[in-house]
Amino acid sequence: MSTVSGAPPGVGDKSAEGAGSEKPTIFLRKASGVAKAFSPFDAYAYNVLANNGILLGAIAFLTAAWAMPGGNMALAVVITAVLTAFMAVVYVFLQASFPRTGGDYIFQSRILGGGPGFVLGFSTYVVATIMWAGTLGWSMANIVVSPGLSMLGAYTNNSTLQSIATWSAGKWGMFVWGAVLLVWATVITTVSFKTYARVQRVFFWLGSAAAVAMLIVLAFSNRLDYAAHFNSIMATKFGVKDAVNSTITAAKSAGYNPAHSFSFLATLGMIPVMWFFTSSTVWSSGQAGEIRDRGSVRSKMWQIVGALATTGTVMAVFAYLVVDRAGGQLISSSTWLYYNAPDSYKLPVSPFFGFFVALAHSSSWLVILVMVAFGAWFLMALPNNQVYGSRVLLAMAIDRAVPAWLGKINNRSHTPLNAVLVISGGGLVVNALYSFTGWFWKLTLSIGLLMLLTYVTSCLAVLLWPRLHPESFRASPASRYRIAGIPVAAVCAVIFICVGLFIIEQYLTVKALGVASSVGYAFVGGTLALGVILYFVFKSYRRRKESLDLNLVYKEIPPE
Amino acid sequence: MNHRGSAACAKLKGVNTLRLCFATDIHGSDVCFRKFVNAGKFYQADVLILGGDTTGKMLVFLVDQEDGTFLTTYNTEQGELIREGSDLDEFEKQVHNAGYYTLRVSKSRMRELNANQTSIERAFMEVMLETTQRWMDLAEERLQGTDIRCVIAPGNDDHLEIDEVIKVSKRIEYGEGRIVRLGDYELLSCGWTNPTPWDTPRECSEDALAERLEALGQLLQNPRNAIFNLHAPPYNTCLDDAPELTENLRMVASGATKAVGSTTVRDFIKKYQPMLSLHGHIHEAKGECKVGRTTCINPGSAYGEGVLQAFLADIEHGSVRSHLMVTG
Repeated sequence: MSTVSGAPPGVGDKSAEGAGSEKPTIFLRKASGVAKAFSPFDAYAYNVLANNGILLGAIAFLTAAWAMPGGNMALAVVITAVLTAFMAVVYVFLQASFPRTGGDYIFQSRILGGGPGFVLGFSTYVVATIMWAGTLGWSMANIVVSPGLSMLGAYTNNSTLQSIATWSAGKWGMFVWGAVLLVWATVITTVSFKTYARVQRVFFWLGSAAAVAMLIVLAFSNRLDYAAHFNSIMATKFGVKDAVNSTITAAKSAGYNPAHSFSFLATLGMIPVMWFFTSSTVWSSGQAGEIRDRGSVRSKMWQIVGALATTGTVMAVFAYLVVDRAGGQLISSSTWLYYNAPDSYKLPVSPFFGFFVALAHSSSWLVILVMVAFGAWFLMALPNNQVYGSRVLLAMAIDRAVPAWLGKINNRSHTPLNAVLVISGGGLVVNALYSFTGWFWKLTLSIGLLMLLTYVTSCLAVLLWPRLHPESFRASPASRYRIAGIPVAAVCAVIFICVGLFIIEQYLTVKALGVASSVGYAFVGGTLALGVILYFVFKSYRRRKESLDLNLVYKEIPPE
Repeated sequence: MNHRGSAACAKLKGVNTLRLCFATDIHGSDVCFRKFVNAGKFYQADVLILGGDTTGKMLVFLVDQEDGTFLTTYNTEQGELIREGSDLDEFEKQVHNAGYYTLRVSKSRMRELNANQTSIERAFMEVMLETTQRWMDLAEERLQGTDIRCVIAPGNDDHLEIDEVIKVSKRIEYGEGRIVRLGDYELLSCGWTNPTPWDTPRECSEDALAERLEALGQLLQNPRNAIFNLHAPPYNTCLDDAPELTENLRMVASGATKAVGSTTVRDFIKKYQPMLSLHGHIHEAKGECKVGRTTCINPGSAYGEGVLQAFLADIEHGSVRSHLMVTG
């Protein structure tokens, strides 16, 4: 029963078409064969939500605006999306060739062996997803709830809203919002996969509609009107006079020069930041075994590269419109002050780009629209994260690389309940550490580097695949698409490995990206080391207690 | 043969251990069958068990153009020409590895076949039986000189005609509808399943399935030491989770799945409580679960990728000492 994987394009109602002709047909006998549960559109929406341009774009723009003076954010988004497309194509072929649940863990363990698969799978999809799960309380409080309610409260003279906004930005507020998000994510990812798919669709369309509405609002404003609205609202509602100029002046006084001419090098320097919201376009890999697309390369292109194109286009337009309407100097000055001289930062809320959109007009409805857009994208970020992380744990558990109970499928919901609970539980601990300590947040800045190492390794695996497993490569869709005789997947892998090495170099040398510090190095190195230790501990345990050689899991039986 | 794999197995396996290797749902994949017969040596298994749905679903015609090329619509609907010789051999190998059959025909033969659906079905059956015979010959050749036993039982997708091909093999043991003794243990096999939406050759009502299974159950001497090889997974376990379909075989809703296993199989396992129950049928529902004391497993299938998903178990003193899912 189940899927006719890789059914060739010639299959169809050929018998009727070719009746009496000499055109060759393909005869498909009556036999069981179904599609899988997750539709290609849902996989596309999943990838768009994994990129989460609205959430991650907010953080990326905040950093890029001041850290790379002279860079053009819109151009940087376009360049990053184009470069990421090479990685996306590699993953199209990996997913089409290994349509199984477990993503990078499966790709790497089947091609390179259990060691790399486990270490990077553990680092990226267990540790990093737990870390990520724990940071969203801060994001929800500081990017959505606090600024939104603060502005709404000011617009409506409602002190309760402003009190909630202030509380939300505090330690307990962040923790509570994080806990609420974790409970929400745990519920919708464990009720059933059908529920998850339905909820995802609702939030995808809601978030998309609100994002488009925000773009329209920006498109129909202009810089002069924008500055007038901005100054007027800041003066009347928050008591900040001549807000645009006073912000720029404050930044200059604190030692920042916001007046930079265009720099292509600075634009390239923004790539590691914009990478935040383009790289997860390959995340449908996590549940590739559940997508109803028969491993079709074309369908995968739409799901993965299509999601990247959507995110890249929307976020490039946002970057252009926000900078053009609000002005580059206001944005870079406010973000620089926010990061580097918070005492001189006089604006009422954090300078995430939603804030600048909300000030395009003096309307509480616009604030609500921004909150709905950001809220919709935020609410799917964590469930999306849980799905991938739990699927990797499930695949590892089936391989006996982690305790078997982690892979237990709940009979009622048909979801990997234990794996989700582990990620949620870990997320709750991280959420507490993130909310109540002043140092933990620095560790989370290195998540991007861990993910990048995993993606680069999967690209390396594609290059080595024909040599390590020639039969399996020849049988895969990856071997059928070629440029000048060279597999397209290999060409794209080489290009992306170069891009990846550039981004790694930036992470390790540019302090503003948050990794280039002893804390960042220790976190990345420590996580990888922990993965190595756990791999050998589990392997040794299986060997001693159960007489199992985990190497057998990954070894290919020679067919001849 | 990979000696490192064999050596690792030999070192880990105890002296009195029965190691079995179970795979299922290879659906005609030539490379998966070749891996299956090699799995005995590779994993140092004492018994190889193939759990059903062994035959392919599709026949690809190659029409001789009488100019040294053959036309096929396998890769493109418009058709492509493949040069006779190594190109054609390589093409056929790829198609066979994906689980499909090929047949080279003349233009006039293709015209005849296209004009008559029954002829196409007959041609398919002939190729399927020839391939099954070729596989049995290959298994005999590969297993010659070894102590590895090999049990093959059909599944719901396999036509009844293949049984005779398996039965006449001197080296392969036909498992369907009987008890095969494996040392101190008994292997009970049944490839029949509860009804599917595709009206496949070996499916029947739950009641009829209960009769079949019960008749077999009565033959067991020590059910608690038995190993069941039942193609249908037990109902409402993680081994039978499949997409929920409408009457038109369309998805009810994205992400919607339902338990499609057999209630009869579940009751049968509960009643006899064998030490191990091996299943297949639902390719994506790879996993293991417990029904009472019985460990039930489905190794899943990735035959389309040329990957043999299998289950290894070491059995000692009437219990499963250790087990492992492998992707060979």
